[in-house]
Amino acid sequence: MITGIELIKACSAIGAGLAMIAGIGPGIGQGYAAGKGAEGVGRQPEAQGDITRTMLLGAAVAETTGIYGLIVAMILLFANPFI
Amino acid sequence: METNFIQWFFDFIMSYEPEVIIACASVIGAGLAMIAGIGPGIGQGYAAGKGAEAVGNNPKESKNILSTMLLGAAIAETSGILALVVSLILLFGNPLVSLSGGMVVIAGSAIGAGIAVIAGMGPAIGQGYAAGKATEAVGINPRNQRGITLVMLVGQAVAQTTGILALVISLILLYGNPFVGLEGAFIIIGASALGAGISMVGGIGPGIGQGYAAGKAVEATGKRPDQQSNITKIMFLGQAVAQTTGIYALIVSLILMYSNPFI
Repeated sequence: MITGIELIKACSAIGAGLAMIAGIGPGIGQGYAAGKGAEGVGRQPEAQGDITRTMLLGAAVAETTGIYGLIVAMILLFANPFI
Repeated sequence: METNFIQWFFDFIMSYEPEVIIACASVIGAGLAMIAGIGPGIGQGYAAGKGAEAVGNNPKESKNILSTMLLGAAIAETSGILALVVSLILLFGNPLVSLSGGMVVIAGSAIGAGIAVIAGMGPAIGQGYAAGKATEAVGINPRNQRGITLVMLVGQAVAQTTGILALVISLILLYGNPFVGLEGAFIIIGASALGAGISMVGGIGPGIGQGYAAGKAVEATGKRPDQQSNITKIMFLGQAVAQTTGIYALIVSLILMYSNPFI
């Protein structure tokens, strides 16, 4: 017999895995930024510092949803409100 | 308590011999693993398109263009082969079949092992993009072929990372499964095995993104070979940032396997 709490824990484990699929987005976006950064440095090597700063700033913003996914996975694992 | 769907489902599963259910899970896992094949298809198709375009623009260089295209496309094949290997292991050399332990846990591990390698789709798409850009660059600047090929290979190697991480998780589930023999509710342990595989699918993104970065770095190297080291440096920096979510996925997967708070 599967108890209710066991079922919730089982579903939470699957949910934690599903949440991490969100990592697809930041990966693609930050990679695009890295590509354009490399392109920019090739065209204007003297602006390398400015280009890198802008790239990292933009990539940091693109990271947010990945962190959100990670937070939800961690909540499901370690601070699950249903358990 | 009235019969719910989950209870009915597990009662239904339990009415079969464990070998039957593990076989079912293995064939489903083998099929899921091959979804990764989407990646090489897209990536190599892009490279082939760029190759045709480049030969059209510069027929004299068709030999160099073709060799760059084939080299890049061969690397984009990697994840497809890795997925095929996992799929064939599940079908013909399945180490889970001989395990004694919770049937649901082993079945969850088989499906999880298959799902994990779907991540290979990302590296393959990214590497194919890099191959296409390298092919294009060789067509425009055949003299820079060496530098172009070098940057392409280095960039593609980085883009492979999440595919390898996913393969490692898949092989752990198959050969070093930490869930089998654990004490606890079978449904939690089985679902954790499944979740550990699903988590790795997040690796699709870093693979695509890092491959895009590699492609753009290749393009820039073709135009400005003198700036190759600066271009490669920025590519690495950006790729490292793009890797983060792939690492998060790995962490969640490892937590589910080795420090699971539910078990």
